[in-house]
Amino acid sequence: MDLPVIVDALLDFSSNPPDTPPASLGDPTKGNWERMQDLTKWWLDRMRTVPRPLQEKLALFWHGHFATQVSKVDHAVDMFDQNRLFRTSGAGSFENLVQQMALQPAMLIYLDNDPNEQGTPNENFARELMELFTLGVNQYTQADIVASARAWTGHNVDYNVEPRVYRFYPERHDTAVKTFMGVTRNWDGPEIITHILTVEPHRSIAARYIAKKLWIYFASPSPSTTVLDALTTAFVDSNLDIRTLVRTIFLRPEFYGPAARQGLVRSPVEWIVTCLRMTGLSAEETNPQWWMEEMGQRLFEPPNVAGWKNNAYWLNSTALWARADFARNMTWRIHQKWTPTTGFLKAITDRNAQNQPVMSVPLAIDLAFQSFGRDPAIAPVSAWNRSVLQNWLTAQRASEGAPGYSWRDWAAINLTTMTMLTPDVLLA
Amino acid sequence: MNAEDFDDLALDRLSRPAQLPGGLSRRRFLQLAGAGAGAAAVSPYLASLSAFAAPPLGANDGILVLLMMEGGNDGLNTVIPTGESRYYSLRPGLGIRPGVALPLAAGVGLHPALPKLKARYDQGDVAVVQGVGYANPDLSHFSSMGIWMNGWGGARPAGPATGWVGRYMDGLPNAADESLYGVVVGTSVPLHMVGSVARASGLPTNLGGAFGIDRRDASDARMYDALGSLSGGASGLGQWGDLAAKVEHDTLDLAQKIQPAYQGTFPDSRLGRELTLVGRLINANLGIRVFNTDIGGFDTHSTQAAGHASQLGEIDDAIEALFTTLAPEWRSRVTVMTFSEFGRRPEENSDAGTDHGSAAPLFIVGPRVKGGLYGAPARTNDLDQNGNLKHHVDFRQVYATVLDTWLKADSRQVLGYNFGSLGFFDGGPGSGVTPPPRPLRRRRRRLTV
Repeated sequence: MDLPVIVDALLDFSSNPPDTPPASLGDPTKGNWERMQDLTKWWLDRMRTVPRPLQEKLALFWHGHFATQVSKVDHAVDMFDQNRLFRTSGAGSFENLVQQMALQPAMLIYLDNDPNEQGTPNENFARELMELFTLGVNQYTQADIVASARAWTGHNVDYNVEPRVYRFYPERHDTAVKTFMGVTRNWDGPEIITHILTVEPHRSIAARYIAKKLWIYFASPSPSTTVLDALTTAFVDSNLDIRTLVRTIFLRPEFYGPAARQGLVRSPVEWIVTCLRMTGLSAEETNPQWWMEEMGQRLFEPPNVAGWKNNAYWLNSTALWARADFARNMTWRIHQKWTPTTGFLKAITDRNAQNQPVMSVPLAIDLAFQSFGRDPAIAPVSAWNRSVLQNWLTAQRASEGAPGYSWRDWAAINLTTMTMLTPDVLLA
Repeated sequence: MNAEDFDDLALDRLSRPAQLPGGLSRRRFLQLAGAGAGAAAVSPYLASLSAFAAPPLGANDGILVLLMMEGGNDGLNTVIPTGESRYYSLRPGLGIRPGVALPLAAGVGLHPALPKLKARYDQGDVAVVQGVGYANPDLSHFSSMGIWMNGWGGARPAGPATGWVGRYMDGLPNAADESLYGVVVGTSVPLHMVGSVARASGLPTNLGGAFGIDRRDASDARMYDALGSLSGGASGLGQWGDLAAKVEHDTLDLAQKIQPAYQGTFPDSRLGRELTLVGRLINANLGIRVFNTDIGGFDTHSTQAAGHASQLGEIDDAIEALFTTLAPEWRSRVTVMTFSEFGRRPEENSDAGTDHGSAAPLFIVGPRVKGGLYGAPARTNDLDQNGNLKHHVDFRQVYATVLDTWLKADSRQVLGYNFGSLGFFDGGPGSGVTPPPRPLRRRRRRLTV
């Protein structure tokens, strides 16, 4: 198959099932904490199981980009509504996404547009809309922020209905003229977004800002100017169509080069989903959310409005301890089941059942990595890491003195944990 | 500088991802692995254990504990200008009344959620530095925090992209190989703790059953050693693969070293837990010079009063927990310094909150601190052209005082400029310094506590 055909297939999300939220979100007897636990596990399991996970990966990108924290928003239903928007509109028009995002309770409450009223405008959303969501720092003035804040007055939340919804209150809106980006008129909030994303030079600045961030998310931290120019042009020419941008990224030869292949450490969410997928375990039964804060990435709770960073940000002792503890937990879960259904553990069981000879050390290691998606023919494991594991497995087997090599042996149990923690699996 | 570079700078400034713990260079690792016979050949990782604690603190070396208040702390409601009528007219709802504020001096009060800090102030152990900020304040959280963390006061734009504590650590012996000169409690290392070669280590607030601690089972120990030794060769996986292996190695080593500090009970609050842990790590004498702790929740754009009081109360209890935890011989070696990226607007907004502003006070706390008010308050009746408070003390003057007097560094080297001293220490750290005579009122206060 041609690459463009494959990429188009990956970007066709029609086979993904509907995103029916977990039942507790509609259950009045459940509290917000329980709902958030459910929502976190639900999203991880959706990432793990849908036929086109790229849709979820884009939703995760927008969650980090238009960051909101449930600790302030306080309602699981609002967080889910935003999550659904990132899923259903995360590959369409960027302007449409920003417009809708701006008028949902999650963002209105998180960045204090909710009580923003004429006479005493609140600058929080107006600032981040430009600094973090569209243009990047230094592309506007403080006066632009003040004008934008006034334009957003009256775009508030109606708390008299359940669930609460966005509502425009004309009597709270500042209808006087404001000067934004050099244009003086009676600006209204949504027109600010339209102006930034349709009028040059702002549109191209925003296109480049988003294109760079998305390349970094999918490929590598330092895109070349050539790549950025090409992405920006494609994004602008498509009227900021996100699917076009993603498609352009996946069709760049640099996306398949060494810098991109070794350019990213798996984020905690990516690593958890990889491990769950490869072990056949669910988030529902392993509760990864208990470890995610220390790993450095809690869903629905980015560290601040700037979202998560990447790479070395995930590599520190605190985060490694959390990953190791969770790897250990997953290992125990697999072995508690006593009937491995996937990967090298199943291969061991099958061989034992068929009375085949003991699996060789190199074969066991090959199968272990294969079960984590590292096919030796396509992405061979580091020779050095392989040699360390072979020496370890040889010594471990010798210490057990059990030639039978059951998957219940320490050799198999610990190989499961160690594979998840090798640099090969920690990298994206 | 083009726009793209600026984006990177602003966002990178907030926190430099942790390359943690920074412990062992490959060069030193190979030296260690090659140096020993027998045991080292079997398990180079084992041979390197405990080979890289930071050099012990000298009798007169000071320890600095930074407390980062994230979001922009409202200075006017922390150290309250109870004598300024303009403050009350700008803050009809949020203003804290003179009778409620804890009096520090004529016309100056402390937020009522800080009674323990007030008691320390009365003992002469708290310096309140007022009106701290910098020229042309930037009201973006990320840019302003970056400016504070970077702390460079010399020529621009050629200044270093490192942090001020990092540059101090760069000057310590063997900085590139020491993982424990600086420690951050939390999952990422903020920029101020990153130097050009020195890096702070990140420690969790909870160790739990952390992987690598319990070596009683031979199979477990064998697994830890194998994972730890992945960093001993070239992975061929590029810089991130190599770094992942190195961090795993250092993490497994650190697990055993710090494990005792996590035993026993802790306060309930996160900051209380962090500062209790800091106290225990200091007592353990691991050679740590600078700690960073942090508390969020200061971006009080709406319904500020209750939240701000609760965050300040957590700080009040946590600082107390630190000094209670410290063994008597360590107490006089420790100074706490608070900071935040900016203060807030002088006027309250319509949402019972305050928006991003500029100058604000900060606290220096410890037995060797010469208590009192420093700098000059930012006045609500003397605002800049944007209606923000004017600063009277550059934050780097505070750093310079801490660097020169407390950490015995050369602040001109670290900050790129001679900022002078604010003189808020009684003397240097440790037992080698005779503290000046204590004022009588201190003793009297103690009886009432």
